Amino acid sequence: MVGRSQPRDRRGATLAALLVGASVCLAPARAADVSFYLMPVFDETRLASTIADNGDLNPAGLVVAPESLGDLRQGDVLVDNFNSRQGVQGAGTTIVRYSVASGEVRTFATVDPRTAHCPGGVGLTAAFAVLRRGWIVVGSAPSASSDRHRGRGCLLVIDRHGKRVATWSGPLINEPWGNAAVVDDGKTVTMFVAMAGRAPPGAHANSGGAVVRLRIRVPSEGPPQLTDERLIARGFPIEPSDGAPVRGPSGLALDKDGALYVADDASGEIFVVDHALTRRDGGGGVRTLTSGVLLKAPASMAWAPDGRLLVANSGDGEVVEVDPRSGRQVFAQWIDIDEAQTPPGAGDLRGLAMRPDGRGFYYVQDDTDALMAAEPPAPGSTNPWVGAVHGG
Amino acid sequence: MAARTPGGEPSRRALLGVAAGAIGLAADAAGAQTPAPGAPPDQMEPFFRRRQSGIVTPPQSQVYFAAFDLDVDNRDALAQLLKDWTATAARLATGQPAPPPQVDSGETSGLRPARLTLTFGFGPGVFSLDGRDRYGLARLRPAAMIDLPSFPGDQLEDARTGGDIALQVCADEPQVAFHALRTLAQTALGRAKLRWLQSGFRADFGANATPRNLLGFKDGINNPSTADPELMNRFIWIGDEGGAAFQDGSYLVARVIRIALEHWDATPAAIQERVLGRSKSSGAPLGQAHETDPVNLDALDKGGLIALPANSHVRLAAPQNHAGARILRRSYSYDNGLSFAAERRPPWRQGLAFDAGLLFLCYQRDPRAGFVSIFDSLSKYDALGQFTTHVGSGLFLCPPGAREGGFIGESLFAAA
Repeated sequence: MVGRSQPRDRRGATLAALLVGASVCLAPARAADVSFYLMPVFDETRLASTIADNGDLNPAGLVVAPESLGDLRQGDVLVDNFNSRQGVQGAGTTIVRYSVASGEVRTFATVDPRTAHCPGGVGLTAAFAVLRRGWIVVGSAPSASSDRHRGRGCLLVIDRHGKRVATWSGPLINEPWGNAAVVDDGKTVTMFVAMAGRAPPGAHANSGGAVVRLRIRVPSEGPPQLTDERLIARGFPIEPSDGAPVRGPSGLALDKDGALYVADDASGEIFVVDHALTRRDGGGGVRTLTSGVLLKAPASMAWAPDGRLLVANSGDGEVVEVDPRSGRQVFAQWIDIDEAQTPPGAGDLRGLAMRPDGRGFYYVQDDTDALMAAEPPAPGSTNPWVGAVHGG
Repeated sequence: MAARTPGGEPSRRALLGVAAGAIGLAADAAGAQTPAPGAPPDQMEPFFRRRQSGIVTPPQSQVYFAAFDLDVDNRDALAQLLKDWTATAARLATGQPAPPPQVDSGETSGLRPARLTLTFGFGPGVFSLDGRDRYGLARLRPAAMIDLPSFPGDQLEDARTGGDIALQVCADEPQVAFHALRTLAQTALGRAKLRWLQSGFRADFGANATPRNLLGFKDGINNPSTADPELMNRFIWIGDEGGAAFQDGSYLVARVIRIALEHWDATPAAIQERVLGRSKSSGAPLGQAHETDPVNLDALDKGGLIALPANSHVRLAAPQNHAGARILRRSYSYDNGLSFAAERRPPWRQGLAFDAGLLFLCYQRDPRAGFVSIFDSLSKYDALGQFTTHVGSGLFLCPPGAREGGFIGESLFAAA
């Protein structure tokens, strides 16, 4: 049993009540453990609609620009859309940019599927990164309907002005799906991408849920170059889904020791791939960190300042705090309590990223196509979004 | 004093002799004189009047909303079409068959007029089409006759959107309404063709009750009173701001709003109430006691929280949030059977579903201050948007009514 905030009347919950809950729930609890990033009841604020100019829907990935370059300003939030205007999944082609300075959203990039050279077409996914030198790498897993892929997909490289400049595809790239993990020193980048892998394998091709490690060289002039790609872990559960084209490895997070955490929304598990920066093949070395309990279709992950993992549940709208060492699920907060879904918030959460200013985190909400911010409440807050139907 | 038409209101011809417009205002605003739904079917709504019928007329039980594309290629031909439509419409409104030589289809023989109203509106194509001033009327296009913006979440289908001429046909008897539409389409044969058509229904809840739509909630509670001429003049009827040609007209926004009924029906009533921001049984805004209580954005619930959720429909649409903007809603439910749908929100069901929802019709003095202002925030934030998708749309400028011997749109041609 673990602590958990309540989905309704959350402002009525007192810190004392939460502490009691926590102390009851965490046995044996060392004093140092009775502190959770998610303990204060966060206020959620809707920042902007993520619907693109062309009507694309269903925000998937979420990244924060690390530098001011081109049309990007440091701290801007980029969100990509998985669905077309008609609601067709795996057909979204757009990235929108939220300006922290102005509070406005503009469509930043629209990828033309006819010229993108992406096998099967374009349907942008949460496999998404913005590099320090201003390049954007975003996955595409085109789908024809809720349960049929259209092809292997690709990774698209987009410049700081929103123009596609390169497309990476190949035997290891098979439906780039979950949110990416990146190590970026400017000139060289290591990017981990989770693959759903439903397209038929060709010779030596990857199929099934897998993680691929990309080495990228970023010259001072010209677009980044893919210098190495390697399958480093495979066999992650995937399954078809009514609400999404597929469930499978959906979130990645890398710790400072080089261990890669993989959330899988098909099985409700978080796996650990040790030595992810250096390992040379996809066999073995993958262990289960934690599964079930509070994890409900875990999607993306981010590192909280306290060193724990924040895991966005696409299954119920909660964010779960997980100790990466013990695997203990120490706390959960119901961030999206949209009661129009069963259970509340189901299907709503996907992308999640920490705010650079340290005030909580950003996330996307699929039920309203919105970019949201969650932060600890100011004293005496009367934010009318608290208790709103969307939980945001 | 003024002569009376069968509907009980002074006729336009009688009013022409009266200098003071205020008398006309009082007459048009006198909702109490106009029969309510369920009135005897022989009651008639006069066609010739200062302002078109079917706007402040208490809503009848049936609508056919049609949009035509014009095939005439010059202004005189357009004027002739409107004259012919006027002549036919005026006869239909009194229960007479189509004027000869048109052969009436006959299915209303023996039926009463059932408060038939025929309301015409001009789409953007009357003024120009693809940048072409095809009737020499482009310079008369008022600033308020905008191209509706594309709203987030719109899934507008060509087959349910746009059109050069709108025709709203309402009656208390479906066959009377359909007959009128069919007859007017025949009148226009070769000169205008139907582009899209949506029928709708509205149940009779009694003269003083707010009707419920397919959501199961009362719809239209906050409508400005049609019996209040000051409100009508301020918010619904066009003044002299767009030139004399359109004074006493009104702008009509039509939206076909599909509702994911399967999803809605799986949602508990208490949550539906938070989505709408009203009690399902009484219609009262959350935090208030009675249907007619004004929406109070600051009301607290028993737990001390804001009673109206930030994304509730009522809160977002409240006039307080739109510089006091008011529109006159005159919506109907619709049911088109089954068709394929992909929900645009979780749980993203795909497959055959009820093609049913709301034919949203609203009238206003200026769509920029009215529908566009209100729906701009609703389209982004409304909790109801999880269940609704706008699939059809149109903005039409309804000109003033026609005088006897004149025709609909006459003032536009006089100004050209």
